[in-house]
Amino acid sequence: MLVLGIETACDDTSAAIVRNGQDVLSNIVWTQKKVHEKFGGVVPELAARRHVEAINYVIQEALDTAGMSFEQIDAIGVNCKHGLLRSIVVGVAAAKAIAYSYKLPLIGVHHIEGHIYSNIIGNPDIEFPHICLTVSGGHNLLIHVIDHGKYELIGRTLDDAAGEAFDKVTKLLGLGFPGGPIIDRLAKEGNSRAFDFPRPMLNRSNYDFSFSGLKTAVVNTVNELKEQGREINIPDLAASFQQAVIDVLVAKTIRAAKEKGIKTITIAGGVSANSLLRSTFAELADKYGFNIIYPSLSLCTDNGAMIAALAYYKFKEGHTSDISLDAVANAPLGALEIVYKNTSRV
Amino acid sequence: MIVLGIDTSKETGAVALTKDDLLLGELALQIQDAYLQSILTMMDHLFKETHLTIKDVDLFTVVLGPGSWSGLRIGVTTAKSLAHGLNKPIVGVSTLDALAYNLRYTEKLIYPAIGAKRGNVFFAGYRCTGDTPQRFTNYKHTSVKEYLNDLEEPSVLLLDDSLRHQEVFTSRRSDVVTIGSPFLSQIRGVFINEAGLHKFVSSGADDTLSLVPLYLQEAEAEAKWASTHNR
Repeated sequence: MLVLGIETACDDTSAAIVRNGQDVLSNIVWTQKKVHEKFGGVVPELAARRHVEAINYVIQEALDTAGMSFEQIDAIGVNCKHGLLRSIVVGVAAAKAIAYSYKLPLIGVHHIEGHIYSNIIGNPDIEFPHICLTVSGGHNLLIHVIDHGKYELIGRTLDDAAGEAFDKVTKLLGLGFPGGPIIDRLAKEGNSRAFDFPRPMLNRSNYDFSFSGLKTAVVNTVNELKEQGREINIPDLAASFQQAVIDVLVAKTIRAAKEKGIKTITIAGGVSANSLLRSTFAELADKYGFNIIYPSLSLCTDNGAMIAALAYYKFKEGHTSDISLDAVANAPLGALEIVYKNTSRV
Repeated sequence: MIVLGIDTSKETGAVALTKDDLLLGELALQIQDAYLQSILTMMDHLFKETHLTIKDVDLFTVVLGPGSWSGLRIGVTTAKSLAHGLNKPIVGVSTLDALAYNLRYTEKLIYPAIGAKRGNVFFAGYRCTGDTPQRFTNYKHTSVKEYLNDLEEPSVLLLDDSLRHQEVFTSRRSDVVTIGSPFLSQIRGVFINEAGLHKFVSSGADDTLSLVPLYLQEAEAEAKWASTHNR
């Protein structure tokens, strides 16, 4: 079964063709990084305009790369449940029109569930239950994945998502957007012990996160150094900040897995591309005997392939949507109410 | 030739299905805030009642704006995705052009106008003496004052709901300036098709993949950025 997956949650326009939820035949992502760079965050109106410009080119490219035509597609999957509303409606309008043209099943799915499924691509026999840490610029969740489509929320951020904290710190330092890859690169040249930043919520017994205070600590440090007329060692600052974020994300995830007696941990979302996060998890996996799964880099950030894969599994379970399918910015994930907050937009 | 027209630019959305000179069906509904949910359902209703399918359509035509930004994105994306999927031509028509089709065969000049943000208006001027309205101004985004200063007479103003009751317009009513009826100031589905067909015959189809709404106004963040960086 060939599923065309469409994703326009935020500032990436993506379409992909995936066979049977596993074989990624194409996964085209048109990134708007350059559009939003000068604003230091995603501007929703501009993101929505760019999606309309790009969407049909991206869909055509997904077909061409897979060597296919619309006639060969069996179903359409689309994110309609999470993201910037102005952006999501573009993907949903396109998905509905194509599904209607060819009388194809239409499956509306949830963006964050898509991230969870980015780890099921390539791991069809993944062990249930497992723990999924999914973190991006817009969400920061620790989820107990009980079975396909069954979730228990373990923890979430109380303020900024980790990816959002990365964006804010690079904006503060005038280093560009998005922050994640920039910090990751700079941190490799720096000393992660140079600055002693707080590890927020690390010692709390719950599994929630908070990165707003850490961001403020970075701001204060920078301001102090400036006042004293001292030079700011950017790589050291980046490395120390990144270490604080990763320490908290990893420690809480490992503790949750131990407490629940779960052996398989997956990490997903844009921040799962972070090299320190990956290497730290890999070390601890060896030490404690965990099985760590993370997606290939092209499946970390927003992409149509995870949507196509998820839609395939949903379709198998009998879920389809009709042509009145609507888009919402923040639908519940299964039975979970996810508090969605994205303050990195300007 | 079977033409399907789509408009989601204003509070009332419209779809129309024509075959050559025959109106097969037309549906207008107040679907503000539900464009995405309703536009395909409205279209599907027309097809069911006319015993046609989307595959019978030879030409898609869609209102490009100005108007509701989200509405336009939903209408344009829907129309171009249908055209793309089915490999059929598409033609975009501006909201103001489509409105000018409501009044024709008159010596009076026609000025459709739509309320924009911050008390501004989108408008253009048309000579409508024949079958096809001839636009004689650019598409403009200006203050109300500028709009009123630019008027040539005698003329008919087609004002949307947000403008019609403003004193600045009603006080302008005179022997030579008429304010058109509210129902002539809304897009009629069948005229989207007529306007689209005229454009298709005279200048051919638009490029499907690159078709975008006519916003006539930059996003607020862009305007702010430009005002602080271009000094």
